[in-house]
Amino acid sequence: MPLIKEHYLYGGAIFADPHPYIVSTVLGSCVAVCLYDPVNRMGGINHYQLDLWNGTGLASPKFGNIAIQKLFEKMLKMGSRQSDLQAKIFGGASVIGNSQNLFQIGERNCEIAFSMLKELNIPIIASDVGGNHGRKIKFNTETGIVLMKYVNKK
Amino acid sequence: MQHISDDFLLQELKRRFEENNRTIAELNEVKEKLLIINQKLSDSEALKSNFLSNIRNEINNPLTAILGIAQYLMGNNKIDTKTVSEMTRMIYAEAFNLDFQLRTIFAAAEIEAGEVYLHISKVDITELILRTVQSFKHIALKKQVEIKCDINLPEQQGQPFLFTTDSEKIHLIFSNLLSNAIEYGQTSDKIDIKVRLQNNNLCISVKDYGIGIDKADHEKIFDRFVQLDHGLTKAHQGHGLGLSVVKNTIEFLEGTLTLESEKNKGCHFLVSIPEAQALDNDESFSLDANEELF
Repeated sequence: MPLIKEHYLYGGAIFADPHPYIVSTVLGSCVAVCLYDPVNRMGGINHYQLDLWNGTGLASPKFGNIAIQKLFEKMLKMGSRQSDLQAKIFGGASVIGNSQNLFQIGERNCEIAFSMLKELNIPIIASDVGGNHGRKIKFNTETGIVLMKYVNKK
Repeated sequence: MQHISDDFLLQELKRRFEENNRTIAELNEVKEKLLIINQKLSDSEALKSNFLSNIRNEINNPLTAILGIAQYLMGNNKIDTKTVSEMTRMIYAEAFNLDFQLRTIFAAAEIEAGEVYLHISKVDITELILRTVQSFKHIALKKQVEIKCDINLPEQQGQPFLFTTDSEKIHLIFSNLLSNAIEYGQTSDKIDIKVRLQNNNLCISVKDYGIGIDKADHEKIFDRFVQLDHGLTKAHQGHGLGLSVVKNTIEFLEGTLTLESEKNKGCHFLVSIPEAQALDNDESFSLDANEELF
């Protein structure tokens, strides 16, 4: 069996590639949206820390509204059809000891994912969000399968 | 039908009115916030569309100079060595500037596209800092600014100090801070660089004694395309991307950036970066109860 390539996704980055990859990332209050195209058997994933870009700093994908839009555009650019795409959402925990906790950032991060995907008409076929634990996920971009376990990090 | 007393009715009406008023007040508050954000977003977009004309000078001027000097050198075969070496130095200075500006612009584009990847390795920080300072020497010389370097890192058994991080990112951060210090610190004649290891964090401090930044503008300078002096009277080079790139890159390395500055009292940027963890990429998921498949 050929070895599948691995990629570690940092917060604020996006990964989408037509070739099979195992993309892993660790989420606290951050959220990762995995988009999978079962027709072309490929996928992409983002990892954002805040929900909305408010015009300060760079318009980077550390903000949900930018990260989701950019990931979606990347999938289309790779040849996916919007109607084929499926989504999985992870993260958005309210991790204790995190000062951002006060602003329910995890919850808001999830909300933007659900609302934007609804607007884009992309079905959310699985999600595991909220709670008090961080998550580590591994997304197989060829099969669309996500392995997840809870961690005490972030 | 249940009988309702007038008193009860009045109270209920009052309660509902109050609730309504509260909701309206809250809505107004949200609306105001939206208006502010809207303004900010359209400002930012306007700045972005001005970007090309903004960077025109930054890119065009060095390029024109390089072409001009090279053309002169090509068309003249009777130039003495001294002139040739002087002109080569000019070409180098212009090309260096162009290279530096473009690196920052590309870094900003990569950050906005979500395509920042870290390349973690063991980095000889002392060598990196000195090499960067050396590469900016010609600009400092021109502006008559002396760069004082004070690097005090623990040696490891006679070996140079190595820090696990992304060397290119550290270079990007440091060169932008240094370039700013030279550009905006020129009313005085020195820049102080201090590099230390504090609580296992790499601390780089860049201090100039120039025009400084008003406290009210401290947040603003990290926005993209923002330079505090702009328009036709703009006295400083640059495209206003440097500090926003610096801030975002430091965030990627999970570090912090502190700014101490007041108008006319110089600028002190302090970067603190934790050592990067070796990625536990090959740690596979154990088949414990905790694991789930989606």
